Amino acid sequence: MCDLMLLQRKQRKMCRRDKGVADTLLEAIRLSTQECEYQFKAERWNCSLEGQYRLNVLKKGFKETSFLYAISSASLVHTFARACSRGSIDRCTCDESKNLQNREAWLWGGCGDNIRFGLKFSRRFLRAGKRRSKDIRARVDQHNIRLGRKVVKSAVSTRCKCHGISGSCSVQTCWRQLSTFLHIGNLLKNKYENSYKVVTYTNHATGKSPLSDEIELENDSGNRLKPIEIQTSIMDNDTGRDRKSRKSKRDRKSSTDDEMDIAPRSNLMVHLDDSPTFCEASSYSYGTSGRVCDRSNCDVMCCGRGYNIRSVTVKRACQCQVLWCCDVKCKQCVSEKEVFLCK
Amino acid sequence: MEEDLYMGDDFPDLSEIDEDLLRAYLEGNEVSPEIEELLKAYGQDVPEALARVTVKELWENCLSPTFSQTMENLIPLLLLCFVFKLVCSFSKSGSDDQDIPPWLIHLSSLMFGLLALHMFFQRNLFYLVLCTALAYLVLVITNWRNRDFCGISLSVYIIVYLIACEFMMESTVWHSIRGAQIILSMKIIGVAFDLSNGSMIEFPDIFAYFGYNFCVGTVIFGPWISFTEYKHILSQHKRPMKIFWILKVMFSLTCALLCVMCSTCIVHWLILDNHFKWVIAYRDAQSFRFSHYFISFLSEVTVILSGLGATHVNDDVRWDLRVSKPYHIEMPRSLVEVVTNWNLPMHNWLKNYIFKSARPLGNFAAVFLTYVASALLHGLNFQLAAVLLSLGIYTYVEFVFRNKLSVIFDACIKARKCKDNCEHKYKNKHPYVLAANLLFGIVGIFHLAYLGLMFDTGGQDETGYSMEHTLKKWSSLNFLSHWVILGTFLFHLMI
Repeated sequence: MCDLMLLQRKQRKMCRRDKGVADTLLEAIRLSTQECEYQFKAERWNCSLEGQYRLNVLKKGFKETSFLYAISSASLVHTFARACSRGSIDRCTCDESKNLQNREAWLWGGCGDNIRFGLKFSRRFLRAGKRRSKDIRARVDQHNIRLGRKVVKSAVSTRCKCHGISGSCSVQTCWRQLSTFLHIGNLLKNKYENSYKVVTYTNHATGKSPLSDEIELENDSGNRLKPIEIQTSIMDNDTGRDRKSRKSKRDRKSSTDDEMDIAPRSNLMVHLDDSPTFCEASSYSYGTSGRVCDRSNCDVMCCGRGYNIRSVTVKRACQCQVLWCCDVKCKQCVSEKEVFLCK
Repeated sequence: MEEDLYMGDDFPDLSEIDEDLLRAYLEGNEVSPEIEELLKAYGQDVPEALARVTVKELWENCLSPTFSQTMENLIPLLLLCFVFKLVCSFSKSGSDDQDIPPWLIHLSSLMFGLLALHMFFQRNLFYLVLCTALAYLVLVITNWRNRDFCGISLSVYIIVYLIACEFMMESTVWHSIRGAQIILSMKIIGVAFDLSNGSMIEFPDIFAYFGYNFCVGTVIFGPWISFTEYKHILSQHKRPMKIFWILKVMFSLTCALLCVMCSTCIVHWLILDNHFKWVIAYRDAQSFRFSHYFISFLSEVTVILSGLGATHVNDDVRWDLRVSKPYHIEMPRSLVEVVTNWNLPMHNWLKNYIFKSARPLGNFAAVFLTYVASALLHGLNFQLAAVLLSLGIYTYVEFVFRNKLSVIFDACIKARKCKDNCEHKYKNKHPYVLAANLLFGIVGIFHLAYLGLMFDTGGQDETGYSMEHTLKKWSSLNFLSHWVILGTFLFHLMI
């Protein structure tokens, strides 16, 4: 962003150094876009987020929608935690007194508050906002957003280093480290592949607990999940008839949001509708004609239409030599490469 | 919108303006071409995993907490050593006013040592106490029968005990007390050999024995000190706490802290994971070596704080104990120098007790037995034994090869530095000699990288490293270093 403005050199340096919240937000979105494109580069839907396509995908309830929500919130947490550690944001607090009691846990974000700040910010930012609808769509979206946060939080790893005579372990120093975003992207992609579809849901209250719903889930392999287990995780916007208690319960929910992750089902990605095949051009994607594929996935990618083989000349630098001193001269190698394009 | 925000010196908060736009983008309520433009133009930074963090972040996230965690672990131990020295300075043995009987000093040494052990190892200190108690028993029995066999019998006892520890103890526990057990074994065997070869006339009483084995300045991190040196705790009035003492403690402590920060943080910050695999091997070995220097300097601090580790020259006290000399290892002249300077007290122990005792069996056998003893002491761990055995072979090959070359070329390119009055034609300062030694040094660095690379933090350093881990790491570098040594040896045989 600083490069786009007409700044003097000193100002540009200052701009670069003091990136604020908006800059970090942009970085987070860019990171999630980049990661999404990387994870889906060999699939039919390649996470192309231009213009109307993104909007239309987000309006429906596909697996792809769930993935988008999850990875957006995960990237928010991740980027904000790292930005806090770099000191780019003033809002993070680093309360040292709390950490002195906890001997081994200092986070690779400088202090434990960084990842807490990231979580809190992401939660506030991606709240349903004014659209506090209680329908199943909103609840599924909230669940997936929470899933993204949860994945980042649980991907914090502890690294230790031992010191001692001849490599023994008399003294150990440990620190916790945020995983790379690539690792988080891989985790979310796995969840995407095992995403559960909401099969049935009811809005009436059961006898025991007046504010819960029954939801049944099924995934591609046909596993079904019992309704009881899902209640504790999706229960944030309730369809109780008692409006007064609903309001208070919602407030309570938003404060105990992240502590309430004991239920195993909150580890799953959930979607509503079956995805289209993305083979043909539709309002959700360009379709797969013209996509580059390789031998192993061409039949899947091209949806049985077959592919064209095109020869492309590739120019590379090769046979580089270092001349004394400090000069590198390379020749240009021209080679033919075969590229497979779907019809 | 953004122009007026960055012109000034302050940077007002953009969040209220852009957040809603971005939120709408994320939730699919609006299509915003501006955001897409911004995202495309936002800059193609280095992928996150491979960017080097800033110095500020390095300081905040790694250097500062490592420093504070280390100090937190060490300050109690250093305090104990200092208090022990104060206690000892009340005893003026050998002079006119002897306040405290010696056995009380030895007992306090034992108490402080046990306290230090408890701080670091909690209940596992029991194994060390058991070892010492049994060792004293064996010593007394052997001494009663025939003093000459003390050395052999205690060596056998220690070997049996180490084997038992290796196979019967839980591996995390064994790996944590292994360091202290090495020092203890060296002390026990040292006293036994001193008795058998006549250097020690008087049989040590139980207080002195336990006090020596558990002396607080040497019990956790070393270094090995001889029994005669330990007895100086009774004459601390000859070793007052003067300025040189303080300076030496400060210097060693600073070096120790620098080394631990280098090992944990700086080395991994300088060389990232996206380099050529030999560079990464060098980095991992470097981290291990700096960890070793940290422990060496730390052991210097503890032993000097307790009032031991000095020599007396003409009524003058010189606090000159050195455990490890990093300069000679990082810029090595030869692998022989590396092996010597890695742990000087241990090197002296091996030379005096193992090498000299095995000399009658021949030179090669003596060298071989020395490395076997070293491997045994370090615990019967395949990785360490493999590294030590390889080192033994490398040093032997290098020694004879360079000897032969120095005779052929008549130059000072032997493995050890020539004395000033050697008979070679090309002496130490000759450019050819310097260049040749530099070349040998670089080859030595290469071998060191290869050997040290498997001490990485791959999750196995709490339990010790297994055979598969070792062989896997070496085969990923195609056992290159071993082939080079084999080639050198064959070449040596041919010329």
